[in-house]
Amino acid sequence: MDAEDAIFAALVADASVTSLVGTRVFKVHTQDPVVPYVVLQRIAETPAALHREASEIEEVLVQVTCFSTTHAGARALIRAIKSALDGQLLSNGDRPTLTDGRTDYDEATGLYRADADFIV
Amino acid sequence: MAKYKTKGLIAKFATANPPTTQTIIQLGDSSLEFGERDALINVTTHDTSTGTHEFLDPGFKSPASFSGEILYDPADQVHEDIRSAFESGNDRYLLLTLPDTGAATILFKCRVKSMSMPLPVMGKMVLNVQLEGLASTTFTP
Repeated sequence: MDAEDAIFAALVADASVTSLVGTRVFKVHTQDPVVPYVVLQRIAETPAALHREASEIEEVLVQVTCFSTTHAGARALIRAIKSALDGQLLSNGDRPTLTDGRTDYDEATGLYRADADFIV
Repeated sequence: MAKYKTKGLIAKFATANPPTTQTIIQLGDSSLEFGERDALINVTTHDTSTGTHEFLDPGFKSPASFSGEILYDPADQVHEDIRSAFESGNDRYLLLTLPDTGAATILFKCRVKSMSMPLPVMGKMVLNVQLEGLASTTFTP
């Protein structure tokens, strides 16, 4: 199971997250989803450089973005996501580490957004 | 004259001379030191006429050594043999096969001199290993 699948599984199983978004956690940004919702995006991946085999490990940067009609709603959702993921053991054995966060107003969707970046 | 990149190096580590199937898997950045020749012997004498000291090579050098980063798997047999050899101090053989067209090899008896494992919060479990040669090197082009 890769990092995004493991993060997805953790979020849809977390009561604090699902109380806010239900099952509206997406691996790609879909059109006009019901708000609020969460989108995962693999930003970067860094495999180990080895002489012979394919790397059995990679460092993955995943951005988790919360969309809400209010700034407070986006912030509340990202706080729940940080609690659900930061340092927690995922089903694939990884432990995400929170590395960055941002809030913004997304012109394209007309929604408030809050982002959290995790290294897995 | 051919030129080669280093990716594709094969390292084998075992009690057997030479190692055959005991490949060190998940080997990352590595380095091979061929050794260093002993200090020159000053043989300058009264009849040295050039104004320049004269020296002789003593005929000895230090053995080779090898260091490498391994993505460590405690369950891998060869990784475990490296750890075991470090704890016991027992001899092993290291066989390096270079990624050139002729697959040149370098073989020497060694011991595991040191191991270290950095444990950053965000990182890979990497074992840094130093192997120290115990005798001469056999090079096969």
